[in-house]
Amino acid sequence: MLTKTVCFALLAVAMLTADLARLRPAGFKEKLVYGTLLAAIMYLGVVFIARKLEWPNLDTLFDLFNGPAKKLVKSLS
Amino acid sequence: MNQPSSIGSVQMASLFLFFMTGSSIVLVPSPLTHEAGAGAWISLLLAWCMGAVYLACILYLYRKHPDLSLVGSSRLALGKLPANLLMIPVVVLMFWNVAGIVSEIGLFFRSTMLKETPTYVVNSLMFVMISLTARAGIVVIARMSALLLAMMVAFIVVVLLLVWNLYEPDFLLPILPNGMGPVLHAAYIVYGFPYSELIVFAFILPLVRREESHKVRKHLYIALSINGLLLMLSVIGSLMVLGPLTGDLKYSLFQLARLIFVREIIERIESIIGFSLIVGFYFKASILLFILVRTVAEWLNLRDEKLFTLPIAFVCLLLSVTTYTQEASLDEMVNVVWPLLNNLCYVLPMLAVAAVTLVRRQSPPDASRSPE
Repeated sequence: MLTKTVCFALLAVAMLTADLARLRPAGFKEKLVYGTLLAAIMYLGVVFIARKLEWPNLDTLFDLFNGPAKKLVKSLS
Repeated sequence: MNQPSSIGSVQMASLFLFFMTGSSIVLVPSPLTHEAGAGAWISLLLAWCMGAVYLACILYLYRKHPDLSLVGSSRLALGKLPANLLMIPVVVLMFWNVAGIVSEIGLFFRSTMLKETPTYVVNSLMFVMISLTARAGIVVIARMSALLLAMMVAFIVVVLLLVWNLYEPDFLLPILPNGMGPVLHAAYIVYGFPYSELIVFAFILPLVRREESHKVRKHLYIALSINGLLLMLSVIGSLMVLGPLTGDLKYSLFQLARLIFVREIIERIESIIGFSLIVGFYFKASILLFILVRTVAEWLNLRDEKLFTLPIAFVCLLLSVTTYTQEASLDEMVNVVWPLLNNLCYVLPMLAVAAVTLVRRQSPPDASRSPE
């Protein structure tokens, strides 16, 4: 868990350092989208570090298509 | 949005070839031959034909609106609100598409070269490179692609040549022992990955220099043909060496490289082919990340698209280490669900836009008005 936290923190600091100069003069919409992405990063970061893989994620959404996809494959073969 | 630089049509074709061949040449032979056996080449041919049809569709849209990406074309054809709604599934799928490519790199390393290294370390390092490449822009990516593509193709050809003494043509028969069913199933897999993914190029075709736009059609079809040829050689080569085992061994080209033995001088050269395979993964992910960032910026009318490269890459990295973390679940996702998701999120929106554009072009400008 410690190595995951260090890895996550290093990448986050590097990203913010690299983007700060561009983010300052950006407009409201750009800052809003950037903030939304940061929120997604924080959520997924918690899922990653605390290993809460059962929390809702994109695979939860994609798994809804598992049944129809299996039926389609079965009908093909 | 920043005005991006443009590239030549040959450069676009080389990016297209890299995108279509990059990771698929490593991953495709195994599930293809697992399902279809010696009939894998028929499956590949069927899926390739579907890819050619989709390429014709995106080239039609490009011919009608050479300055517009799929976002712009859909706004023109469907109106702003429906087009914006249509882009939601496209963007969501693209996020996972980038993550999925890097997940596959992580799995490749875990099962071949870096067995003790945590996958998230490999994925993080890959994403640092991928995000910096995508942030550098299309011109840099296109210039890099020429050398790396040549190296990748050369290494693949070298491996296929150096195992010539192990070829057993008998393994290519029987072609259809269980009928067409398994062949169609295999075609479904290879259709989902990589052929239906080519739709994403509809977002960057307007980056081709205007004076070269008339050559794009020819160059992209040549690239698609080379891609089909390389995949076919890889499938047939793997089948002729590994026979029925091809379907059970992942990364068949890597397995072929391990078998190379030429007079005790050239042997165990899998790290060389490993390098070219990793280049393929890396470049495909870089191109797709660039397309994703550009699409998000155009979709949301954002001025500085480079600002979003790193956070989008970070989200993709975290998706790669939090979704489908088990090899079996990732395989099931790619082989079963992915083609359907591609159809729903990439293919259907593109076909809808192409159909509306076609209908609008064919109907006279005042057809909707009732005669007074």
